[in-house]
Amino acid sequence: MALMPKRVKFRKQQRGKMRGVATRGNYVAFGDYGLQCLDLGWLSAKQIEAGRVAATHFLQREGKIYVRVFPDKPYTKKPLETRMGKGKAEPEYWVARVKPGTVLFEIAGVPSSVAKQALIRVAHKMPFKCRFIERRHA
Amino acid sequence: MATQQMPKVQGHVRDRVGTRHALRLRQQGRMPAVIYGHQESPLPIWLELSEIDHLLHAHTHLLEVAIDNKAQPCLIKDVQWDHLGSHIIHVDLARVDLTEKVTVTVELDFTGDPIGLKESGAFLEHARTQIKIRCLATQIPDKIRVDLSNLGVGQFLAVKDLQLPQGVSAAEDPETILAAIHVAVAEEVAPAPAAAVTEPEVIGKKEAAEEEPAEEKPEKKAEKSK
Repeated sequence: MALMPKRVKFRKQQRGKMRGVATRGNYVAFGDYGLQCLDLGWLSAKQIEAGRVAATHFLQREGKIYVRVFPDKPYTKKPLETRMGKGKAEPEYWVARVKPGTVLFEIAGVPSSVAKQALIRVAHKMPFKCRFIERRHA
Repeated sequence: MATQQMPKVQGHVRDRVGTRHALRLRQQGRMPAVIYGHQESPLPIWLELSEIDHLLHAHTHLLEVAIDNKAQPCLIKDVQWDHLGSHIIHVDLARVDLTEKVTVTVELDFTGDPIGLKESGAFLEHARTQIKIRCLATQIPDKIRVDLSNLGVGQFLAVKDLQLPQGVSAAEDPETILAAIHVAVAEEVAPAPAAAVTEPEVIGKKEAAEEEPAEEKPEKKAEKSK
């Protein structure tokens, strides 16, 4: 089942602005290798799940996958053939805000070549340009 | 040990500070830095990128910075990276006395093939890849070697199990886990709930919904009777 919050303070949110770069969550923190996003936008819960499934399927119980983003922003959408107005529409799905530098997925416990192949498969499911990165040393 | 040959770099005092001036320095192949500590006022400086960049990538902790023909030993306290983690954009240097004890973060070097990894589905999790240690400024090790060859499935290695060099002590909780071997568990397919949850609970909504009808009812009845 796709990710979404358990409790929220408000059912609907304004769209907001998309700008800036990732100042947090922009390095490999848990695993050894990661998939870093180079673009800016919204990543839906379905897309996150598709990426996770792609990596899990490729790794076949080896290693550990960390999902570093969480869809906490509701996306509302008006039904088809509806006239404009009558207030804000109902939430359709949930998205995660992603900025250039955000690490989307991490993998631990597998060799570099295997992690790279798995994360390339994940990158194909992402709506952004992504790149493979390794853990940064002190 | 990092101090056998303390690398020397030439520092230059920065007259103008701020984002734009720092950006111009970087465009000229220089790296903005700051020196502070020992109850002296902070001093913004710049260093030649070609001199400092390889030192930072080579796990250097201690270096000698010469400013106006006066060299002083400094500890690399913090390194700032750009948003993509590709380039170093700023360095914090702390003045240090070579006879004082300092707390630094050093890299852990995991060696050996753990016996637990022979089991299918087992994987090694590096809970930590760095550790804070306390030692003399002249005795900072480049890395701390950790032998994992005796680690079995379900076992872990904690800070207290580390064999640290003489004069070096861990500055962390001894029970902190550094590495562990787990077995990947197949994902359980959760049974579909009777009514699939499509919306999260809204905080404070239930209480308001329960209170409102009780208050409104008497008013409505009064209106109808009129």
